[in-house]
Amino acid sequence: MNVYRFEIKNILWTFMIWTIIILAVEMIFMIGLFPSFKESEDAVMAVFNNFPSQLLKSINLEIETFFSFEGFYAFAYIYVGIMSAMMAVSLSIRAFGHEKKSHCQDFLMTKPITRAHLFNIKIVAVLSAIICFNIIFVGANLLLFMKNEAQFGIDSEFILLVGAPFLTQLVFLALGMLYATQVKHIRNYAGPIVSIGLGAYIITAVVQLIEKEALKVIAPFSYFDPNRIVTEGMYDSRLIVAACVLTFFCMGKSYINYTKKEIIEA
Amino acid sequence: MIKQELKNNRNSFIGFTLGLGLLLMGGFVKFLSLAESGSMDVSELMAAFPKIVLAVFGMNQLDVQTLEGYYAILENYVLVLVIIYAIKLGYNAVARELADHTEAFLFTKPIKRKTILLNKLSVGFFFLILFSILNGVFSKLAIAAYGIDGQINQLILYYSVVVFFNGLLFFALSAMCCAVIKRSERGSTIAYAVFFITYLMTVIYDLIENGRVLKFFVPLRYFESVDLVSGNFKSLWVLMFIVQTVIFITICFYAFIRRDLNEN
Repeated sequence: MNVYRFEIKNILWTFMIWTIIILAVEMIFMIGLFPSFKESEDAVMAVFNNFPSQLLKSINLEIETFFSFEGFYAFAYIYVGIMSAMMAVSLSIRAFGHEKKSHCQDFLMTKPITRAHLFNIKIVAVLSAIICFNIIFVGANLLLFMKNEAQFGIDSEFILLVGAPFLTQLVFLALGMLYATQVKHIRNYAGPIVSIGLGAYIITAVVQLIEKEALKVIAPFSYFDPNRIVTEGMYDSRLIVAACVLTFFCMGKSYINYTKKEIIEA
Repeated sequence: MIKQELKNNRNSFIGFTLGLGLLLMGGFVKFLSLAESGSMDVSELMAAFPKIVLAVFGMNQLDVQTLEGYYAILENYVLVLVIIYAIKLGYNAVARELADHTEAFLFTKPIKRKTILLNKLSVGFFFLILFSILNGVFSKLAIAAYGIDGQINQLILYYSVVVFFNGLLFFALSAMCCAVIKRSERGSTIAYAVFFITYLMTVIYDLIENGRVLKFFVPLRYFESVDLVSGNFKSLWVLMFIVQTVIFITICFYAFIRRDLNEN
């Protein structure tokens, strides 16, 4: 329990700052930008009205989805997703790399606790922070959806939509753990956090640009893509498998690293 | 000493260059199929839509079906890459020795601190130039490798320059933050945070119609893709980059020379 309390204290600030930033960005998009987006629906419709009526009918439905609140949520998720991923990486690097960075691993390891036990406590600490964040995030979005959608009900679609950050965070949590347990030195936190987060973002963007379905396996932000929920109602099952494999591989490897690796003090 | 610095930075340089190469080489795969499918005229449609609608569609005022437009989109990602790299270089130049607790050894050498910093910064500068040149080379190679028709040499040159200046600006920013702030690892955190905020502002800048006021705060948009594609290089903004860079570097020197060394 002592260790748990210490870990929570260690990541508390990071947790609070990221939660505030992510919620603020979500608000900027959904409250600040959505209305002006919605307003432009007429202008777009005016363009499409010149099309033959047969075509117009089929397009009409798509435009409705396009201008829906969910559609815009999926768009904003590009940015909210990156940030929640970076938050997860940040929390897990802080939890698992803290001793490595401040060169005090040997103090921790002399305590009468097995390394496996320490590993578990650290995971639980990071997970509880992430779950807290998601409760707040889902709550905020629940309010936003209720306000903006006429017939709103909590259905599986809504749950999958607002669950996207949580699922993505789990993947990135594992990536961050692997980084923290694998490297020799940790000089600063910000570098790896930004590199992992934006690196994954660039990969995902390029994969989307070149439209190769098979490559989505290496693009972490396409695993849980709200756009798919809006258009098809479900995540791609193959990508879910990919996400699970990646997460469990990273966690397993980190566990081995953490429990077995020799501690080198520089 | 310069040799040592070059060696320190070699690995990350190789990493980032690999990333750059993959990005450009991989990115152009799609353009083939696009070009084959025959282009329809979307530019008219685009003019009719507000910026925000296009952005949600995944476009930004550029015709992705032309080589120029497509290239500009890829280069926007290169910009993100170079900035992350530049911040890392700036940190390495100023604060790495502090983090490794080896600066005491370095400062006992009979070299002025000014010279030390100058050497370190020039190594970073060198890598940034190399990175920008490679950006141009890879772009040429990718286009040649896939046998894409079209002459965009000028655009490639423009973008390499833009990549270089953006990198330089954030390199200087990062070096300054690391020198000014006592706990230097905080410095790079702040530099990354500044970049992150700028990036968010860039996103918002792209979304709203009247973002002129924001322009000063978004170095990523000092040169707008639309202008560059149409061959309109506004050199005034280069001055903007240079002025900011010089200010940052000056502060960096000032702080670095006066900093206290306290080993903990």
